[in-house]
Amino acid sequence: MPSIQSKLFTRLASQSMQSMFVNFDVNKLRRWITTLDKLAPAPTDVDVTPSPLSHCEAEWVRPQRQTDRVILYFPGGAWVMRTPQAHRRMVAKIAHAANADVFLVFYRLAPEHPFPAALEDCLEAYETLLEQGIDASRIVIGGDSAGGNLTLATLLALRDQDQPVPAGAFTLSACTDLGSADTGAEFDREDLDPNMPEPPEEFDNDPRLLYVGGNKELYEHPYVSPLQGDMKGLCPLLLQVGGAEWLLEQSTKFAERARAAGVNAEVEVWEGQPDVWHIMRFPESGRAVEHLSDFIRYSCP
Amino acid sequence: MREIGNDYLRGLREDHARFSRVLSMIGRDARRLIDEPDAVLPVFEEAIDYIVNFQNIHHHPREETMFAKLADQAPPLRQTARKLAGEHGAVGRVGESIQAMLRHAASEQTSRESRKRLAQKLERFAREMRRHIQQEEELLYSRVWDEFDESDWEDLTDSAPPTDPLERSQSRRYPLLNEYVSAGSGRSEVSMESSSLLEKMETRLDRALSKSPRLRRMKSIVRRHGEEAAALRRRSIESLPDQPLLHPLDTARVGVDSVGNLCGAYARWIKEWHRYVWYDEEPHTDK
Repeated sequence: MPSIQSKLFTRLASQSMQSMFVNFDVNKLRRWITTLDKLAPAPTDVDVTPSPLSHCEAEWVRPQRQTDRVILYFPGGAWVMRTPQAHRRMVAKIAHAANADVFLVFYRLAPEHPFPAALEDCLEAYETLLEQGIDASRIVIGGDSAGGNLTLATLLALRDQDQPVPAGAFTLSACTDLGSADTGAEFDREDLDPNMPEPPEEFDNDPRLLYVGGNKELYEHPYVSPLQGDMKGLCPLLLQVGGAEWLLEQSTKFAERARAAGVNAEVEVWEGQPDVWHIMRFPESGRAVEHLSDFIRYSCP
Repeated sequence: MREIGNDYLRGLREDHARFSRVLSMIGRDARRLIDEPDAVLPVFEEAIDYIVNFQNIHHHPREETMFAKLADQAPPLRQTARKLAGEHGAVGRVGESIQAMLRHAASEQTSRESRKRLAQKLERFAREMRRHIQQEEELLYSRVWDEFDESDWEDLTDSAPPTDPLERSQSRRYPLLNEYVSAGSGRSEVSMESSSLLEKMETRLDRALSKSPRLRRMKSIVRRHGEEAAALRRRSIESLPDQPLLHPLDTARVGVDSVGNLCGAYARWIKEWHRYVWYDEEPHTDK
């Protein structure tokens, strides 16, 4: 049973947030999200050091202790927006729990920079870590929502390019298939996640369409929809997903197919949780981060 | 000589990695003890036996030797080292009491309530272990490179560890745990401990909703006003000026508007609900 906090949030927010992300001007939505993000307090127990890449901003979020574990993290935001402050806070929690430094990459956003710009930034971030002398076996890649999509796409691309494989990878509420028409039939529609209402089949400013630059054929491309890719040879994976999100089946299907391809993939379905609940302050948020820290520790001792 | 230190420390961290694997299993599956004990009891018995015995024989003695040396060389760390080494005894004691509970649950038919207590105790144990491991790594492991020199590492390597029982050659002792660790759990459903009060309230509310058209109508009012709040907030965002950066006054206005719209919508909802409940007035929306 979900915690009281989580239930209250889901019930209250579902009254006011549905349809916010549909048919909306991207620039205004970005500014609104940025405004809200500014209200979030900055994490105090980490050092944040900017470390820009060729085409995008990136930064190190480090607990004030020495460690050689690195998490390469791609934040979510439907490929079109970002919430740096909220993500800093979230990755700081993961960094502490897993005793790791986090390299947070603010990849280029659509529609100004459609696919493959974001993926190129993610790959460049990984290569930069290797160039800095960090061994691939000390790196765990992770991301939430659209960042989860980029995490899986990065893994596929690294494997295809014969690059060293990271120690592990995790996704939180990942979008794995952009062309999916899944209706999430296996969970109760009444409890649908308020943060991410299921989109109609097509609408103006659909972030999926913006991400592929209007070219729907790209939905079939494995770097856009990793669920369509060949998963052989991927590193161990942990996929965490909320039981109340329409993205639920995208994670469970990905894990199933990855396991069928011989990958050590596990999926955790968190009862009644909304999209990327880790960013909230529910009891489940802390518990999920604890589970992530277990995974990071056993993938990257 | 850094290599020796590296091996020594890597060994300890690999132990933590294996413990984390077991803790992750406990975190995911402890609740299954409540309703399907036969499916998970045997593997939990092995898991706790592994944690208790392997830690006492293999892991803790090595750590305590390293912590003692660290405390000698860095007096500010003495208290932390003593505290964390002291927790090793507590881990053993709690682990043994859980072992006894697991044996009892395996040998006799136990009530659902007592299995629930066992699951809670296991989850608490896993959380405490996690915190302990995290603090050891953060507060002490991270300091050894600064504090130790070659001779320190040489002293430490004298205490050679026995083989980890989860390694293949020793896997016969923990067959189920080994199988679990190598195969992984695939898909797992994770839920929080439910509050019995909340559970009761939910059941009663569901029952009332199924019986009472009035309550169902009230629920629909809640939904409709939520939509109204969303529409108002959309309007507030749409009214933002088209400049690339928000003026601080705009930022403030968006904040106030959003909070105000939401409060306004809920205030109207409460008012309408109140009228409906007490005066039987048909709900309406004044947009």
